[in-house]
Amino acid sequence: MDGGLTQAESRELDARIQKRQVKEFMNVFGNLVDNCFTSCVDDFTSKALSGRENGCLSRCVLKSMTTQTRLGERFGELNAAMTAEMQQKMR
Amino acid sequence: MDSDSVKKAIIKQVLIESNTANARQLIEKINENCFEKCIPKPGSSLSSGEKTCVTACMEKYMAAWNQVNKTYLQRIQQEVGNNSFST
Repeated sequence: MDGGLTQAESRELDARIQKRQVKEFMNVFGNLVDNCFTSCVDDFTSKALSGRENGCLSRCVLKSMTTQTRLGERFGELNAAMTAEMQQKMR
Repeated sequence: MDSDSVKKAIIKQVLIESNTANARQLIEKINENCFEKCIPKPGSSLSSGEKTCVTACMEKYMAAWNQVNKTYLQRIQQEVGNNSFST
């Protein structure tokens, strides 16, 4: 048998990775609420969110999501370019 | 106990744990944000104005959490809808 993982180890690894991903997502979500709250909500004379604040929050969330997607794409692009450059140099 | 009820018990346990962690993080964030927004000059006790502000802030933060949740889910569902129609 080679140095790979047994089935049980593989399952354990998958479970741990999933747990970590969930944790990470909750972090991202919490920070998103934090940022959008800071940007959008300033008036504490009432207990309910105004229509303006609600709209601001919605737009904030959508903008953040779009930004994250674009950042991911851009990162991929840069990564691919770097890899291609390295392969060129190795020839 | 059959495997189905074991599975259900595990899922329930995981949900409880994740909700607890969720709640803990939420309270932490509320503390930070509302202290910053409502108590610009900390004295030795909270004035009634500061107390009112903190209460309102907490309500608003939770409402904001819900709004963000709703918007996020809507957008995700949109994406899934778009993907299932593309070939």
